[in-house]
Amino acid sequence: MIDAALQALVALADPVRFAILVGGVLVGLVLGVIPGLGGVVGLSLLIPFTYNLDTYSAFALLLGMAATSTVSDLIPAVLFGVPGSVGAAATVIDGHTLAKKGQAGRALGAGYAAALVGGVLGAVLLAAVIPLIRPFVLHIGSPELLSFSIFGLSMVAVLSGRAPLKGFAGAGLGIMLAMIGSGSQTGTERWTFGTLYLWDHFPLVPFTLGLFAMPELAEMAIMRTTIARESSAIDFSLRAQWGGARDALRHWWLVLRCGCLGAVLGTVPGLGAASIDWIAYGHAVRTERKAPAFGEGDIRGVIAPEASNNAKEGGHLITTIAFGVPSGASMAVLLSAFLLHGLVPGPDMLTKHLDVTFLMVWSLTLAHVIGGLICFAASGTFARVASVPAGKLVPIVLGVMFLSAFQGSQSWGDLYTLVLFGAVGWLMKLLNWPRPPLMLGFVLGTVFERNLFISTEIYGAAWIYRPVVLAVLAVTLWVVLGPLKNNVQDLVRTFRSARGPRVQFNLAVAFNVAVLAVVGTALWQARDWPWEAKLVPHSAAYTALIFAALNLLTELFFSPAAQPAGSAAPVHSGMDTAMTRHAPLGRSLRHFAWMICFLAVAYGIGLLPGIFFLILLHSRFEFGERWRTAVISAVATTVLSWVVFDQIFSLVWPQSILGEAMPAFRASLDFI
Amino acid sequence: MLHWLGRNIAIAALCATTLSVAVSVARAQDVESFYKRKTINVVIGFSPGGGYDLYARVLARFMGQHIPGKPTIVPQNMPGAGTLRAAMYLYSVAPKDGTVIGTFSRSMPMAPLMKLPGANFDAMKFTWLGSITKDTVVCLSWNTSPVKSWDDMFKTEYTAGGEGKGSDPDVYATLIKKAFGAKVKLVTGYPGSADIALAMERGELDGLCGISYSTIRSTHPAWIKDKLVNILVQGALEPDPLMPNVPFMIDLAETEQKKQILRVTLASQAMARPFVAPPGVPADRAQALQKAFDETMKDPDFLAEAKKLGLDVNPMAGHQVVDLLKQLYATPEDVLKETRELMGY
Repeated sequence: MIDAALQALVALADPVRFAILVGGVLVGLVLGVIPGLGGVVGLSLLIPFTYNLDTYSAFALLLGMAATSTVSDLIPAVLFGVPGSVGAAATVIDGHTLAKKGQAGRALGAGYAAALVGGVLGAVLLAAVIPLIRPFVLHIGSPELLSFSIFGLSMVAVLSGRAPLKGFAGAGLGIMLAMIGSGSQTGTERWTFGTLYLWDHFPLVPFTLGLFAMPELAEMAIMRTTIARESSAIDFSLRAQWGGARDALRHWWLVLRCGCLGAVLGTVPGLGAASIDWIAYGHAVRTERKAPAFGEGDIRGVIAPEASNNAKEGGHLITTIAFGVPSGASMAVLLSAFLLHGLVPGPDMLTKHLDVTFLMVWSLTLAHVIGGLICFAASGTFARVASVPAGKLVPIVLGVMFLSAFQGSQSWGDLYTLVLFGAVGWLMKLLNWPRPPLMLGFVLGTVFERNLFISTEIYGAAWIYRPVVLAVLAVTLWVVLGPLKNNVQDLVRTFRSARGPRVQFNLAVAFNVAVLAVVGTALWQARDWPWEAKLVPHSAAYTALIFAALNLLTELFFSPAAQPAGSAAPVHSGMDTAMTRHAPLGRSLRHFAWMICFLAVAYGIGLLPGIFFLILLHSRFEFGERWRTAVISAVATTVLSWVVFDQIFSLVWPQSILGEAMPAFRASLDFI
Repeated sequence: MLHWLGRNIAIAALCATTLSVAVSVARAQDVESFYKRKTINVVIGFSPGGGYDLYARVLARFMGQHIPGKPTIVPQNMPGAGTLRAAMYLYSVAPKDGTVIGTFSRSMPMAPLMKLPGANFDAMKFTWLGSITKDTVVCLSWNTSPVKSWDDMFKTEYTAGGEGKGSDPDVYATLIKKAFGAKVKLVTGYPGSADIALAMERGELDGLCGISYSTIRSTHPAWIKDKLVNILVQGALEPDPLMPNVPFMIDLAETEQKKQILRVTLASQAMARPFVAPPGVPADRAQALQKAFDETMKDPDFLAEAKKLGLDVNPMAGHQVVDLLKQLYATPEDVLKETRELMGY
């Protein structure tokens, strides 16, 4: 085994090969920064380039790229609140808050350090378990997958903070959203309203961008601020970043824990990148006792998810190399690279081709280190973006976000999803409904349902008695009991301090009623489904119904003063609630009106032309920027997007009315 | 100033439109000058990384050379709704000028016959280029399972993994159960065949139906070499010479009606990697594309690359596919009805 490791290291030290690795790293860094682009796109792009490379160079390139897209995805998450990839969504909560407090440099520095260590940890773990990989993964059966998904869902208790009723209702809703589509057991079309788009389930990218990124941009637009709210205190110097790195080092035990968590969870097929960072975040909230300020800009809220987000790559590789079971779309693409080079995932990779496996380990390690260092060096420039006024920044980021959302499933539905969940996310942020539970329910709902049916079908009730399952469920119980105890105490206190019914109607109540109405309608629509198709959706719906109804009682009858103070709550919207209480409602409505008009225009004349006009007119008329600024931003963004998405990625643009009416026009300009 | 700007933009747009219409009309002539310096898109109904995607990308690398004008062929992935999305796109939305070709799942041409919701197309109207290869679908069991042969499937319960209603593993497991009366227990909901394979290795499942023999040879060669699996039965329109001792599904059927049903179901194996262009491509360009496809199938560089990647090439030309489809679509409705039922639709 040692010779294989050394052989691979020597191979990688070859200057040409090293340069190829660095090339991959650079591509990965760039792709990570652009939201919506990442592993899958990059791999699809680079794999053809590997046809003529030898095996070592090919995998150095591919893994160099795959490794670092999860390092740079924290840059837009911190600066704009827009996660560069779905695994960075949890970083937004505290990372973006820190940026708003002028500490963008510190957040970035801490994030890079955690990413670097986490990534190396994942690679080391991969190397360490090589003799054990196959028996290890063979022990993870469907019941174990089920127990992992339950563990993940239990994080809802932690992530709901001081609003457990809203949190659990949100989780129920999230699971319902995951159920939309063709049911796996009976093929029943659940809540698809006859559309092909929903048949395939809601895509993750537009949903995440809508729920987390849109509200941040909306807030910036509505408050007319820069990213850093108090512009006098921005610190993005290298010194600040090193301060952040030192913070990460100080919390080395947290980094180690979350790194291991990420690596182990990465090996579990089906858990997915989107849930791992939330689980790590929840774990940090649950276990860090000293002066927690999660949601308010706690640096640990950046360190924990970033460590796990990067360690999971090692975990993903474990199952992919040893069994050919891809734990996500990007691993599935990597598998094709295996085939291209005549490698077959399985026992051979751990014996005959052990050197290639070790090459992957080294590539992963070195890529993380190089990527982290490049980010440190380049971040000064990035962090400066925090002082650019909203008027210049928001239209461009919005335009890019629409393009990124479109990557979800490349249809109009993605854009509608983005705007719809953008509005929902904004309302949730305004009214203190925690969003992470909704997200967790959404990403874990499918895994939970599939494995519930498979486990009970094959093992009957005995699925619970398996040792790993029992261990995981025990941990779950521990995770849940602490917060639940606090929550129940809070609730009792709230109800006790009731001063009698003071029925009040406001936006909070209206939103709550709307939630109940949606859940109720969904339940009614689902009444005729066969029981296998109904089981999980109904359970989730009833959960949501009960908790939302309880919450409505508190909204209607109890004054806000009786509820626990929002600022003490971990994992709330991560922003100053006082600020949004006074958010001009008019401006909010207008902001979303712009989104809807954009959709109409894009549907009429094409996505890319629509984006051009969005940036141009939004900049000029909403923010009052000069024509020159507006035109330059619009032209630059549109041309760059055309080059990247049309020429390089050969995107299939959606069909607009103009293109339908005049096919000849479309033949020459295919983005119509 | 806005008025001036607006008016000039409108005029510019009008000119651009007129010009492009004129230009594209003028270009409708010679095939070679049409394709010169053009790009053809091959729309792939699957996500990157699987077998269909690989076949399409290899085709894309070599087919351009055989088209007059030598256009570049660029792959574009368009997954969704079990390739129904790509099929509908190719049928009604894609430009019909010969700049788009595509591939979808082998069972998609039969989808209208199976009354799949949303499959509103006439499979024979596509401009068929052909199928790169045929395939044979098998049921197999892991070596530790008590089910080791076709006969065992009637004595002991056989737990087969599935990917969801309508997927190949589910369809074939259901078919074996309903058409032959085998003791099959289908456990569905696995995300993909790799996960089913893992579950099989774990002992959670006995085996898997509806997997292509070629997929086994390329992604799990050890299964055959080290005898890790038992191949229980094979299904195609003809027996596969590589599996001389494995029972052949159509032979196992007792009645002529059942044989016919099996032929309808297994016809998709004959066109295992189908490639089409949209309906209504101008005749000269359609012919050029079909000829290029046929020539690529004989191109030594293409064959060498396919061999290197472990991809079988046993082509069926476009007109042969259309003939086969004609036969299938002429099947009487009562047979089709029973087919649908046996497949679990």
